[in-house]
Amino acid sequence: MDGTDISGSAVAVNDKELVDKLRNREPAAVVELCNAYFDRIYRLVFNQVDGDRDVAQDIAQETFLAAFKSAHRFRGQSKVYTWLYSIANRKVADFYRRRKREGKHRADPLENQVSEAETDGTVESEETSKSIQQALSCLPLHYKQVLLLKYVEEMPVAEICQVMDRSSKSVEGLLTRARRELRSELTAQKPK
Amino acid sequence: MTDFNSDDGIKRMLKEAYQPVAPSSEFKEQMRKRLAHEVHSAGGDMSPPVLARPKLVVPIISAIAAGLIGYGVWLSLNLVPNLIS
Repeated sequence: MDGTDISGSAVAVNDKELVDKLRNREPAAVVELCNAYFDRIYRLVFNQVDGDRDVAQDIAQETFLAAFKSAHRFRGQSKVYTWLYSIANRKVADFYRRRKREGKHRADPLENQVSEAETDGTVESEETSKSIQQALSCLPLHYKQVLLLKYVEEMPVAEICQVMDRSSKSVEGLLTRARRELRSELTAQKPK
Repeated sequence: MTDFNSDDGIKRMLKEAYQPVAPSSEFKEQMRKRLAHEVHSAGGDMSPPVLARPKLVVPIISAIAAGLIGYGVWLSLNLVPNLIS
């Protein structure tokens, strides 16, 4: 499987070798894991936490530490990145639960995301993008997660099932409800 | 606004709104150092549970089995004759 190097260049990763190293607890394996998958995991988390860069960095880092600690339980039945995505998804859910418990309010993290997009210079219409991000941020976390996995990460339903630990019927149902909810949010945002 | 009633419309719209982002190179470097540090400092805690290490499972189970057999033999030689007499 191809991954992206932690320093930005592409590296080829042999998932089987990597899994063996992880299960043998070789310290170098965690660096190899990061080199291969950090950018993908960071991007997924960044989008799920509505573009809050600091939170995304913390969660991405926690994800890799947790992966290394639990590597001996990974049987290699799924792909390494779906395993990492499932850890990251749980970490994001933990973050929202913790924030809800602490009663913290969000300080418009979408501002961060827009500024990152500006530096890329690739967003066609900032207003449209912002309203879409705003609509998605209003959805329940599992709706947001399933939409990002399906349409941004372009993950097949079978892999979404592994990441979210749900049956395919459950994921299909979730996608239907999430799409409906997103449409309704966007419609509500449309200027009258 | 993009058509969000079709599957393709939603995909196009979300792809446009969520452009690929990458963490800064300084953060990556810091994180790599921190992970390496945590992995090394965790040391013993990071080693897998004994039963998850295949090379150790066989000798441990063999030693336990040998001990049990030995104990059984000792019991039969010492206790059973005493009970009979």
